[in-house]
Amino acid sequence: MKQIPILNKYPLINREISWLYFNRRVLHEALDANVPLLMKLQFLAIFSSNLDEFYMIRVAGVKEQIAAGYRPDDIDEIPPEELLTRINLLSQQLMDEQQNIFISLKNECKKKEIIFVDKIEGEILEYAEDIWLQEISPAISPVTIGQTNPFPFIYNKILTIFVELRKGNLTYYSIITLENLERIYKIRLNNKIFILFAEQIILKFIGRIYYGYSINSYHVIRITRNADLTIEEGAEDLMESIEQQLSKRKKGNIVRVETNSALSNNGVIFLQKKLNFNSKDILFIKGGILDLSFLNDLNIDRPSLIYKPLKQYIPADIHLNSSIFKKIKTKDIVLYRPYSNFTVITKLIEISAEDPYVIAIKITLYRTNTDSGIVKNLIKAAHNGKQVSVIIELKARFEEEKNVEWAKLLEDSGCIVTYGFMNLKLHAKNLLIIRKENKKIIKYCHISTGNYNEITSKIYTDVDYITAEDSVGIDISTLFNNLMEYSDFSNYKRISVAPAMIRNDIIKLIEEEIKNAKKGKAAKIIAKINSLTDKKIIFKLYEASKSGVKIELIVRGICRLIPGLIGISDNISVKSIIGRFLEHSRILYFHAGGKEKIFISTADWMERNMDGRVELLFEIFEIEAKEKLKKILEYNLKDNTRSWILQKDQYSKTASSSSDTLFNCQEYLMEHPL
Amino acid sequence: MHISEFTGKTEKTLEYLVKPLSVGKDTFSEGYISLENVYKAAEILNGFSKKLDEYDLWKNYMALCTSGVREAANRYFFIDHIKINTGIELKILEPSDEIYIKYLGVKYAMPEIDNYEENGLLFTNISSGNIFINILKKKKLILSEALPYGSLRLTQIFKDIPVQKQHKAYEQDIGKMVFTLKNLLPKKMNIKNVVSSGSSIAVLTDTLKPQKDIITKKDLVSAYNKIKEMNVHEIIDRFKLRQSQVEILIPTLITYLKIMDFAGVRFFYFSRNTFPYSMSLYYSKTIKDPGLYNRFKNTLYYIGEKYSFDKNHAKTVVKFALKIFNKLKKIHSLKWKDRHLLESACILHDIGYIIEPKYHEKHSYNIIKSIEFPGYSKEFIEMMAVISFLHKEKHDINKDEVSVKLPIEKRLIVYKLSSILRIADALDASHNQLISDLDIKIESNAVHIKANAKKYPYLEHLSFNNKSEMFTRTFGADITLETNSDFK
Repeated sequence: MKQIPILNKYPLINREISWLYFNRRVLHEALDANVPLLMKLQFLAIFSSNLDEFYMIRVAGVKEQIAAGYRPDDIDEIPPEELLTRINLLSQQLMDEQQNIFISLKNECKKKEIIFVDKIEGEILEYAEDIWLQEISPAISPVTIGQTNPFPFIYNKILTIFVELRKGNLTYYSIITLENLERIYKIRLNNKIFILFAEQIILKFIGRIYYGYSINSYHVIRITRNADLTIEEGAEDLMESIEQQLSKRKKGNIVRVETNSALSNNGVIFLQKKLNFNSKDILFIKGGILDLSFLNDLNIDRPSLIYKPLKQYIPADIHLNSSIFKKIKTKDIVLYRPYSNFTVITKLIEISAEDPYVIAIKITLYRTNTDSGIVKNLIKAAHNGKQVSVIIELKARFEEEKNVEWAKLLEDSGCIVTYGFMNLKLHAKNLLIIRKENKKIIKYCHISTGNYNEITSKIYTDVDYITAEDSVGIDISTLFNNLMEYSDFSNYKRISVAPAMIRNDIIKLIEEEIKNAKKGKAAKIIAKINSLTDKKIIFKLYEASKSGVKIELIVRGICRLIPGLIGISDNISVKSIIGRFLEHSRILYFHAGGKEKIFISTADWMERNMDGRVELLFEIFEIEAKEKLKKILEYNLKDNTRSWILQKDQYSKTASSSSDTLFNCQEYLMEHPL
Repeated sequence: MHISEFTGKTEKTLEYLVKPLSVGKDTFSEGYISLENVYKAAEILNGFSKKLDEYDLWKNYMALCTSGVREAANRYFFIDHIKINTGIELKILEPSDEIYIKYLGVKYAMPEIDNYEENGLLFTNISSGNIFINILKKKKLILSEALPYGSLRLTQIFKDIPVQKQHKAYEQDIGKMVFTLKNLLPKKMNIKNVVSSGSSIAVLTDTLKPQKDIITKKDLVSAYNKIKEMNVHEIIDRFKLRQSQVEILIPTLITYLKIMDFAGVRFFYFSRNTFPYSMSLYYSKTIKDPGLYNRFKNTLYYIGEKYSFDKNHAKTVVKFALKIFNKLKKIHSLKWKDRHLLESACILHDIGYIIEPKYHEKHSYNIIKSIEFPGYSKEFIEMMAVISFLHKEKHDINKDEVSVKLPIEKRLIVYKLSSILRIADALDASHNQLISDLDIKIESNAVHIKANAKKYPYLEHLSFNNKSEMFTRTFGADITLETNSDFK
């Protein structure tokens, strides 16, 4: 076991390292025999995109710490220089592993007549030449650097070919950026699919570009830039500030340089001079194919090589017409995506847009999809005279550009649009429909752990809760008044809101378990979350474990807590489920002396969620809904096919003995919706 | 902002919004609201106007201003700016109405207040600009004052004094207020209970975190001793208060301590009801105050006694006036509220005697005009004063400046009621209650009063003849007086 840093006398896994472990678990899905072939490729793609984002945000942060001369307060925290070295080392290992898996999957693909072409030759050569002549050659602009040709700007994540040339005694360097090109070209021939990479075709015909030069070497490189947005303090117009920052993002500092082959010393020096990066930032892709995120967009129609279709259900007693309001008043509705159909929510908005009794609709938008039906119906509602208020989180990472567009579109359509707060990200997902029924105001609230996104609703697991409970309606109205800055009053009774409340409430709930355990009563906590890094909560969990509270954590991603340490965390177990669907719901269970308190939440147990975001924690009172949520936790804990168990600081896939019945939580929920 | 839905008399809070802006800070220090705060207020109210849109409440809202705006030199500009920029029409609330609504709100939340009133109650509302004090006992309002000692106002008055010494300045100033109160109160007045409400309560509850709706003097003293030694940051950190709350914390604590000393109580009750909530209940007519008129009447007699009025005469005039009013219902077509006005004027019509009998009606007018009684508007009190003034026959409603100030429709009411008061007053002109009862008959163009008298009432007849002319002019009917023939 590697050295575990000790903070405040309690052990913690480093956050970045833990994240890399998570991405390794994602990568290992591509090794799982139960995962269909094309889906395995998709996991390789997800691994790549995840790692890109990690470098653009997290590694960029570490590099900023180094630049600022930051020293951690706690001597046990890893200093940023050392952390960067460890990150690069582990990333290199993971990327090597990814390439090896890709090589092996390419062989499997070949058996299925999907051929990733290694060498352009034979009959493929002719097709490749056509592509070169018709599509690539006219689109690229090679730049040979010289006095009249300055080094071109290379954008974030753009594949680039770096060529070292000679003419006479002089060495020249040339750059070809693969902007505005398809990454792959598919050739269908004799019932086979041949896949060629754009860079592969360019390199095949590179001699035609540099006529009169001798080509010393060429390399495919890809740079990753810092893409974290910094909203300037005191910025008066958030929208304007975001728009300015978006253009800056494209030009952020370089945090990683990937290359498919070793660059010459002179080549490195030249590039460093032009691009300003450190030699430690270079990661070498041994397999030769950079950026496997394209594997997400193969679009190969082979049903036998993908997951079986997802059948999403709509509860039989819910009719998607205005009777739904009556239904909600009778009983709260709890749905679990993606097994349940998100249409229930989109339709609810659509019905509200047309319903003559609906007077107002309010919604938070964090990430929504292109061509969003929700946005269309909000616009329709505004046209129909409803007051529509939309709070768009302009700062939702990598959604900023899209969200600025939504904001303008909605505003132009007569909706009241606000953008949350300068210094807080709005992460709570809420919909409030206000209806006037027989001269009485009824508030219908939708509280969710997931985004209003019709696409991800088919991939992410999330809880949707719809209620007409008065006290919830009052609190959600208050929340919207706060978010729209109409009011500072925030005396919530039914919901807990971060920052300020959620961490305290969670700690209180843990303390209640500690108290019960000390009295010899049953004490148990189950938490299904995406990440666990908040030190105050972690230390409280250690304290609870020491007091005898049984704690079962289902943490998909980063987990800084180390379970199973004698005398510290031996009552804590941690598992991570990685599967077809991205586990995204946050569900909490506290035994509470037999009262069994169940919550849903948008907040991960991370400092950023507790202190830097507007998050929601909501206790479920209705017995039937509580039972459903308990079932979800039960199935997650029971899963022994998609689960990874954290032991000390290492994850291992559950090794079910032959006597164990295999249980795949996600598949079970597909077949047995709640 | 408080948005309520009413089903019958049941209130359901739909929303409650708070957006603090200390316009009072400007008003209490500079005398007007700064332009910056006028704009900020418009921005805040613009947000509130969206709620009026949302629930379609534009025909069903009340937006009231208290001392921060009421006392600002540029209040009309402020109101106009808000109207133009948000569509919201602000109204200025008079202090007596403010305390009345607050009092009713507390009464609604605390029904046991009736018992406290019976035994002696000090009701106080400490807000940013003013301290409202009502002292009630045995269904009488002994004292009702709006004193300019609100916590925010004090901070502004003493803002130039070094922070460490400010609490001493507050103590002295509030001490002066208590001294004034002591002078206004009867010597043997015993107050058993204190009830409080107002924005100061939120500051106190956030600081002291009382479990029940009671705050003890012990807790206040202990908090005050600690807090006066702390700096702002320490207070914020220790009590998790907002900066704006910390600013008014010390004067608020001192005010409560002084009021408790004055009342001689060890604890006080408080209501967490907010003013907007009370407004919501009041303007929706959800809360009513059936004891209001009796309390007012009792208080008028109490005031009369303070000025050594002739209670028997007052009662007699009331009796006769109301009898005439009731009998003449078809002729005068006045409302029940006007009957109250008549009765009130009758009680105090001679109160100015103590100053100078010759011009007593003028003094009565001035004394009555100075009355402030929560629940009764300034206009009501003004009309009451004018009716009293006009009871003397030499005055003419169309000429005297006190009456011409009234709007024409009010003047007509005053004219009718004054005519009745004159007759009733004439019927006890001797102040000896020679006439014990009346029998009133109405014929086509005449009203005949037949009076039962112990002996022949010469003075009453004489006075009647002098005073009946106004009645005839007002109602277009002759009025005659006939007394028991035994004495002729």
